[in-house]
Amino acid sequence: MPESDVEILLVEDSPEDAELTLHSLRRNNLANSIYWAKDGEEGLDFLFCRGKFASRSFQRPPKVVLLDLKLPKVDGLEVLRQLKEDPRTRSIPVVVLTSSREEADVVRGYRNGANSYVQKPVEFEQFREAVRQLGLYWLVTNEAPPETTFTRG
Amino acid sequence: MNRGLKNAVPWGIGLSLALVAAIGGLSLRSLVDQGEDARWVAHTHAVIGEMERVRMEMLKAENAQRGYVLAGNSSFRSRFSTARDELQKTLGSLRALTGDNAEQQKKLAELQPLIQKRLELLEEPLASPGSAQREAGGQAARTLSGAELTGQIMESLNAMENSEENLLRERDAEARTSSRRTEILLVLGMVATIGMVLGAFLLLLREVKERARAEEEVNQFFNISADLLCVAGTDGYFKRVNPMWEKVLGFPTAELLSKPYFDFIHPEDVEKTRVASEAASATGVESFENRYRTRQGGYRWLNWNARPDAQRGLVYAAARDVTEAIAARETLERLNGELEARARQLEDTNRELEAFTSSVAHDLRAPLRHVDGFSRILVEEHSAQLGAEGQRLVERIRRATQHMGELVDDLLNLSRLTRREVSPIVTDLGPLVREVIAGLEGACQGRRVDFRVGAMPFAECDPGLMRQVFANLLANAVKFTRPRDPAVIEVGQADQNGNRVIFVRDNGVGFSMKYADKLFGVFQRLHRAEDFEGTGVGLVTVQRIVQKHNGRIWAEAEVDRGATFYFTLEGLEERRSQDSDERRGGTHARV
Repeated sequence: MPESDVEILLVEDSPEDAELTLHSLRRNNLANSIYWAKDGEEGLDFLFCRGKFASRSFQRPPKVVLLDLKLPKVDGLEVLRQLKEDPRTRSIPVVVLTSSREEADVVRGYRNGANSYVQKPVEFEQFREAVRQLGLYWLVTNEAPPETTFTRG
Repeated sequence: MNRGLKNAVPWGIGLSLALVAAIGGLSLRSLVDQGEDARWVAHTHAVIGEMERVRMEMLKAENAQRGYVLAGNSSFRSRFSTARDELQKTLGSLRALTGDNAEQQKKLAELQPLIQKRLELLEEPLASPGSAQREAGGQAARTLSGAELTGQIMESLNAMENSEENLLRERDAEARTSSRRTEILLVLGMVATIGMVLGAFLLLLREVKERARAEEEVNQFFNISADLLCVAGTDGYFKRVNPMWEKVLGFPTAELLSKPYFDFIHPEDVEKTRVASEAASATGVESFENRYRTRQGGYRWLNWNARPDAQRGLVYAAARDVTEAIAARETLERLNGELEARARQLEDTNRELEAFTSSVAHDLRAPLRHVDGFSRILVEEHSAQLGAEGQRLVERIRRATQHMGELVDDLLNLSRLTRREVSPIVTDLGPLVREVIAGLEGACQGRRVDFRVGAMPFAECDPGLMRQVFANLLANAVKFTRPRDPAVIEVGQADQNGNRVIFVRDNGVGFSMKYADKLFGVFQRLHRAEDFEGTGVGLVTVQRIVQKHNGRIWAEAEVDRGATFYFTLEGLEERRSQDSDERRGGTHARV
């Protein structure tokens, strides 16, 4: 999969959670455009087009980031902070994956925080609801959107 | 001496001085008067003397003339002249003496021509040289008008003398009066002076006694004081110490006074005492503490208050033996320190426990999630290979993981609750309870449940936590009334032993009071899971919340006859909820 075509960036360290999420999305034909980053550092490298992602362009950011909070190296909150501080990445929608209500409360305490929340395990229905909240209807319709409709980008 | 007396003293002295001065003045005046009177008496005596002399010289002149006439001796002539001259002189002096007396002057003026005339008569024979003539002349003078004139003169003199003697008597009386007045004044003055001196003496005596008494009082206090009192000199020696010193330190008073007081002070406290004593002799000190050596070699902690008397170079000081208090304070501080350390330890442990619980709950949740997720995929995508029995088993796996998920959720909830701060506000419990009941609609699906909500009070509580209390209790009530038709669940307030309590009562399966002590233990259940599902965390949660509101919770129940949960809250108000619509819940409850 060419990294430039990625529409969903999943930042998740747990292979089980990742597999369940991917499985759910795959069943809905969304797996093709997902990139799975295994920790926070890789996630940041991807988003900031550096390291092994140096060839990526800021011009084609992922449509949405699914971000786990408990991550090795750089944790989810730090990823969120850096993402939201940089003007180049600020507008990328972030859906935080929480393992409890309590975690969602913690994230809500941060300014410029997540755009939405999804509680694990990530069911497709929940994901669709989150995406709906973000106004990214086309993401789950299997149709490539015309560039002009992507106004939030 | 009291204030009134103090004010009276200058007045008394002023008054006394004025009195003495007045009496002195009067006495002086009286004495002067008396001298004047005496002079007047003497004057009168002199006047009378002169009058007598006039009379005598008159007679002398007559005798001399008669002698001359009879004897013709010329010596009589000169005697006559002498008498006549004396007479003239005396009259002059008399005139001068009685210058102040108009009456006497008048009389004198009448007398003078008479005397003059008499003298002329007497002189006649002296002028003629013949004895016969002398005889005849003399005879004539004597026999004719002479005797008459003499008589007139004498009479006039008598009258003058009488008048003068009257004057004398008057002046005498006056002199006596003024003399008596002087005496009286002197006596009065003496009496007044004696009185004043006596008064002053008595006052002084009283003052002295008063002072002695006051000093005695001070001494009494000095001697009985439980504090160590002393007067210290700026020379570094005690000037006076009370008996308490001997009692507390054991040194005899004489020894305490004979050595510099620094000798008795703990070497470690010498420096700060030096600083403090300088302060004491300048401005005084308060609550200064140092240690004094005892005769046994130990030390006592003394707490000092001192006031300086800079004029006399003294410091008045009172010390209290605070050794025990300090020991107690130190013990208390040590115990407090230990307690604080232990409390910190406990807090740390609690925090660790909470962190542990929270982390365990989170970490447990992940594998559960995975088991559940993969089981589901198995059922959904591989059901053909599993077969009916395989599907049933996977379903069991999923149910078990779900139950464990609930346990973990409840544990997390409880852990969150333990950490949460209560933020109480005055809350109407009526609407809160009805809200909870509305939320139980799902659980009541297909059953007849009669909710009866009595008048609910206002409570000062954390509404979120209180909602949880009612939610757990009412959910329990709904659960354990499952075999009842209709189920009756009451919520209300009651008085128990004068305490306002809130109760939740049901007609459910109840429980045996034998196990009542297990009711509020974590994961403790009084019913079999196959009869009534549950995690055993709900009531613990309720109890934690009630305890956080300084309340108490307990239950009364009987097997198959329902259960009643009672709880108290600290901020439970007398006022009743406005809309105490009894049985309102009943209308919506049959779902």
